[in-house]
Amino acid sequence: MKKISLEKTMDQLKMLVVLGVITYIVLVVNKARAGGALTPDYLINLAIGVVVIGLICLLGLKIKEVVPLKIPAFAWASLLGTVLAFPFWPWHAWFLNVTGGVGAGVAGTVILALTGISIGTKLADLKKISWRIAIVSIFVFCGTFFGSAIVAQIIMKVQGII
Amino acid sequence: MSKVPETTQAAEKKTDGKLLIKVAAAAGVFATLGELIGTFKFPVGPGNFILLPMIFAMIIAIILTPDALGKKIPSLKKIIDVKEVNLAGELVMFELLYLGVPLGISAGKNIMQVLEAGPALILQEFGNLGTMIIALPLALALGMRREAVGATISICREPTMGLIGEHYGMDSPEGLGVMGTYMCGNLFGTIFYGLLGSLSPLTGLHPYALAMACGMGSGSMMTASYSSLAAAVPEMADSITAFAATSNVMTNLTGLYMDLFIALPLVNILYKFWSKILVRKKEG
Repeated sequence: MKKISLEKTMDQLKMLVVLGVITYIVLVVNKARAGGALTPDYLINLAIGVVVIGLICLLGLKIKEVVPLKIPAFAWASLLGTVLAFPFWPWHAWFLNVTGGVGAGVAGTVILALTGISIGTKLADLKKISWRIAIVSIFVFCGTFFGSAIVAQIIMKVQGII
Repeated sequence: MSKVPETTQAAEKKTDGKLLIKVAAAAGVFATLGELIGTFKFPVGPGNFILLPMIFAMIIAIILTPDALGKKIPSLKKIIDVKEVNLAGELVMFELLYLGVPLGISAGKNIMQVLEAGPALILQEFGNLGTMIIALPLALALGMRREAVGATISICREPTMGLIGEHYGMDSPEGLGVMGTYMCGNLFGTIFYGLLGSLSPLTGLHPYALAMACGMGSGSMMTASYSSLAAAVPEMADSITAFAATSNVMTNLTGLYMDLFIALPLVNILYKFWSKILVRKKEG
């Protein structure tokens, strides 16, 4: 087992806190834009939700450091979210209530804003793949769709369902 | 916000607090602008051409970077320059975590549905590997290189983006590839999935199997495809809805692990294989 460095943890926490604040603000904007009522209750609940999720993110980062497998923190954090949301836990209702307002879509908006900044010096690379990716993506969609349909067809034939 | 020790020379690599706040605030402003612009939908055939806030946020961000407007307006580089670009790349990984947890939560609360789903629904998730089999050689033939690994690893929804973003970095060729397919999915995924839903019964595959296939993408892709499939085979509409919805829950739960443990190693093996055949000269 590797040792967890306090300094590194503080650095990660710093980033998670700053991004948590940004995500919170954008969540509020998103809710207001959709015409939702921003009651104090809602805002507090949402803040608790972001903090809880932020802590799960940190835990995910730490598990990644401790476990000697090549599994990314993203997968650990997501798995923690899944396990914590199982319906049989005593905190189930509370957990879903506070985290319910934290939509993945808003995090997506922040991610793509950051991604937009981060590819700012690579626009030439992006131009190089632009039209190709549109063609490739159509084959990606078809590949997934028919791949899945064919497997399902075979299994259900074997089972005698169809 | 958190207390940062006041030492100027840190032993370990430490993030500059001011720079961090600057980059995060810039991203926050772009994201806010994106959210304020909102979502635009244009109905096309059986689906919609959709412009999500995230697309506007990214376009605004790209426009203001050193390679775009920054070239023409040097003072813009005071806000975003190479240092900021590099930190933004790092921050993507952290913000991805904020995406991963809600995705995980939505899968976890539906765990019972998945347990009841049965072998066909579980095994059809392997169908996602069909993408790389047909799309990877095509991407290489079109001249893509490592971008192809990201673009064709799977249908590239959020979990895949998170995985590739952390594994290779969002600003790597693989990252650009996964983002490309992700973006195409956002833009015309529902149109295309809508078309697949209505035309796929012509293949002779059973509507139940097709219904499960409808659940392989995002929630909106599923909605577009199963609605048009149900419209094409109205007598099975109820079962189609149930199979599609359960398959989508299944995808949300297993997609990430499928990508991590199976698709990622496999796409790299296939990449080596195809690049020997399709890439004559060795290039970067």
